[in-house]
Amino acid sequence: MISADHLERQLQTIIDGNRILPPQPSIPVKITVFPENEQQISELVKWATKDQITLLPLGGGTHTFSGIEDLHVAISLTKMNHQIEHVSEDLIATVAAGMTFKDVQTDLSSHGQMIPLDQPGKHNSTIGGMVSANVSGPSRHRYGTARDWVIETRLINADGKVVKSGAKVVKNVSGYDLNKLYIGARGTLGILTYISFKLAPIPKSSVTFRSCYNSLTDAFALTHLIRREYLDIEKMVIIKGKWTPGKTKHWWLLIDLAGTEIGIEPQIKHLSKLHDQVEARRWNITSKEDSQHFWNMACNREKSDDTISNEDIWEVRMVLPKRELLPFLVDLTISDEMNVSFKIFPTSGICTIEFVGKKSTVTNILNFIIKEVKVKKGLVEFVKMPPDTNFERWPILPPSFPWIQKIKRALDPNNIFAPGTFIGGI
Amino acid sequence: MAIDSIFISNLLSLLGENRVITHPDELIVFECDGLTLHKQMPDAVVLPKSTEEVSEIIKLCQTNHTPFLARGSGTGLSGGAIAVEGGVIIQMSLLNQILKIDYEDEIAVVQPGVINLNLTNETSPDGYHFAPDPSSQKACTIGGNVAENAGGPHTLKYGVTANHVMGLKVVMPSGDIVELGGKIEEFSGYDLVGLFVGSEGTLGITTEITVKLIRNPEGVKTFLATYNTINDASNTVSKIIESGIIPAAMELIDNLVIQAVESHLKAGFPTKADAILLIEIDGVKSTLTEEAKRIESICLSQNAVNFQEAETMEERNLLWRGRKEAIGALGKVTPAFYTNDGVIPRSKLPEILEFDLDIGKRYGLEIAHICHAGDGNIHPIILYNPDNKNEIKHAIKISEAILKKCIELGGALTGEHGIGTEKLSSFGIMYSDNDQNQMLRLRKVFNPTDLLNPGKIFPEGAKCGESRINQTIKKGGWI
Ligand SMILES: Cc1cc2nc3c(=O)[nH]c(=O)nc-3n(C[C@H](O)[C@H](O)[C@H](O)COP(=O)(O)OP(=O)(O)OC[C@H]3O[C@@H](n4cnc5c(N)ncnc54)[C@H](O)[C@@H]3O)c2cc1C
Repeated sequence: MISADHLERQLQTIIDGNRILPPQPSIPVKITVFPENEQQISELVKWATKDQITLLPLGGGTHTFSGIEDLHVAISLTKMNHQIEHVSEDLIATVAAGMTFKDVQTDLSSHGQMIPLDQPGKHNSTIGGMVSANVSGPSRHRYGTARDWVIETRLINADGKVVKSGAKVVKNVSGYDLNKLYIGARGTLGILTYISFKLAPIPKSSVTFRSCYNSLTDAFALTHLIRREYLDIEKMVIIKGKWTPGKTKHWWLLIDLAGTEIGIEPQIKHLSKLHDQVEARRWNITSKEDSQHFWNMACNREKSDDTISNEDIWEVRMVLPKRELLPFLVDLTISDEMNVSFKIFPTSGICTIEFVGKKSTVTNILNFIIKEVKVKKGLVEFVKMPPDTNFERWPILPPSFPWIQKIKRALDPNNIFAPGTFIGGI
Repeated sequence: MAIDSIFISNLLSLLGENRVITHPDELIVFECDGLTLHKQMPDAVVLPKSTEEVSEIIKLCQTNHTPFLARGSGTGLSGGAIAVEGGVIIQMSLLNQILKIDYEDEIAVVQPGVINLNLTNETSPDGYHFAPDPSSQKACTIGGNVAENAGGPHTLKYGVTANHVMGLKVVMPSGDIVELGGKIEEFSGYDLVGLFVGSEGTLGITTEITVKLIRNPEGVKTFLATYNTINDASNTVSKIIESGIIPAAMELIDNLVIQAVESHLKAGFPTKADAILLIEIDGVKSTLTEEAKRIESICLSQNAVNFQEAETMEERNLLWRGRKEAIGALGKVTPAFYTNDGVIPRSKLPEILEFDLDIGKRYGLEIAHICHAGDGNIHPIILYNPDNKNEIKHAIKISEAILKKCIELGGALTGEHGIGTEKLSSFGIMYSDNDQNQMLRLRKVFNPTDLLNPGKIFPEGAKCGESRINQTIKKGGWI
């Protein structure tokens, strides 16, 4: 057992003492360091390799780590937050991994540009953390995910060397595209230090439609209609429960139309007509403030009620072939004892369900979900679950898993980067 | 290892006589791809009809220590499909079925030998298409597109092949058959699909591809902007992007190409112009008129001398035919040319074009330009006389200098053609030894014996193959 004191003494030879702190309670490590540049990270990695120390790369620490064994040192990138190079005529920006997404977006928005990903949960999410976790939200309807926008990365690899992949250009087939591997790798292949993105222009005008339905099938009806129409839809989500402001029993569908000031008008009329054709209980075009409030809640709401203990929260995210999602969700039998919330990206086949309940009440349905999604060749991730449960965070392994293990072994031979934190315990 | 009669008879008993080619007269077709500079005859070409056959072929090759590689239509422009060390070419043309088209999930499942345009032709009556549209789309295969991460004029708005591939069935160099990704929008674990797309056929052989189908836009407008200087045309490009408009396509064509196209097919390009921009916007009809006005005013503010919209579908098609057949048209006015594929951040377009013209003058060779300008992907096309050894040398020197300049300007060596054998010597300008080692570690995971497509991408791995490549330039060839 390596003690925190021992680690601290060792770390002090690499990094200033006031950059070494005890960990936040939610992070499963003994100690946290806050390096300020690539050189320091590189030295930390070399030391870790030599002394068999395990490292947990960390952004804002907003990620949840249910069911993970303790590691040694968290490397927080939050002090690498000072650089940004933005060339607006190229629609490209390079960002230090520790910058918060919010700060970057604020900076870019003054030029009418953005990284078209959604602000996840908390405001201190860092760019590096978002890319490593490959987060996405309602904008993926139009913009896809980080893999569509990251064009260059710098990463400190297992040798403690800086390795670059890609370039600050929007099209590139020079060598292997390692960016794709690092996106969503949750820090298990190295420590991302800088990331370049292609950017999108912020639409000149946008309008939010909100509609409410008695059933999920009714809510999906509009999304099906829309697919046959021509509309510039930027965001879309179906929500129920804690992700809606009133925690109502109804299903909400939020849709953002976005476009030019003149061009959007006929589209508003068109989408309004479509709303009249479906079985909505009611629908309206929301005010700017309401719209912001609704999207915030749909993307970010952590807990609807502070009296609920973390021990009773199970958040499960699943990805299915698009056509399978609705029938699958309709078939789920959810008992009245369970307090359930849904967040669905209908055009991407993605759904997150939060169950609040004791293990005994949720186990059956969770097992059913895993079994059914596996048959449909989908993906399941337990985003949150109480400690000491026997669910794997990623209960379905892809057929390529042996190759995933081989990649991990090749790029992190000493298993120092976040071991045991990712799919199949890699 | 060279192949012997036992190895050949094993191939024959697996595939039958009609699907194994060993006669030199027939093999000659396979000695190079679109890059005719590099040549090497394979020892055999085989034509599998199933994934399982590909796997069996690979196992035979491994047992016999024989190099092997896949080949689509051989339109690649970086030497990717040449058997640098001899061995077996696995020709994918009999794996040419569209297996599934599913409009509900908006995907298609195809075999790798399907010709790119065939998928779009098949789906367009139903209002869909396959977005990557390389100029070679009438000939190249989707398997080749995946290997090279192909782009095309409409990449600007719709992205490259990588943005449209969801799943791959791959035969690994071990012979194992593995499914990567699938019919869902995310990958569990590492994104192996993303790694395989653009890996130039060096990590595995693809036998099935799940791609996204994209809905055809409601409206399209195509414009031709004419300029007296190429500098004004290239300045326009980043001005349009910066204004917040991402056109579907924005291509820059210079006077040499305009002349060639007009003498070939009369596309309506103004022959006196120094350069033209072919700009297309598409999307919801109600937004197009406003965008068109803004684009027109930006073009005029950057000294366009004429700005016109294609009024009919025929006019639009003709303009695009002019663009897509431009390389062929150039072939009629010059005995040989060499196409470069550098990429730069788009604001550096004026600088790189000036550099090209300058260096061309210095070496006394003409350079024509067709650029995917909106993406910053330049295609300087160096014209030379293949009977003049000095000109050949100079063409190669010019291309290398342009690539070096691209890197200096913060760009990359290749936007869509790949490194192949062509750019081995330049690879180290873009990637340090550490960068390359990281990539080589991955190559070793999948291709530990280095028998799959050796001598490509990495200068290190190429060394053993170099002695066998025959560097010649034939009359009329595109090097
Ligand atoms: C006139 C002309 C215009 C062009 N325009 C464009 C353009 O606009 N954009 C663009 O991107 N490219 C363009 N190209 C280049 C070329 O057409 C593309 O790279 C294309 O994707 C190659 O496809 P192919 O079937 O011909 O592949 P090949 O040339 O046969 O092979 C290319 C590479 O792919 C590998 N490969 C092929 N099939 C498989 C498989 N099933 N599994 C694994 N590896 C495989 C080969 O080993 C090789 O390394 C152009 C070429 C020409 C001649």
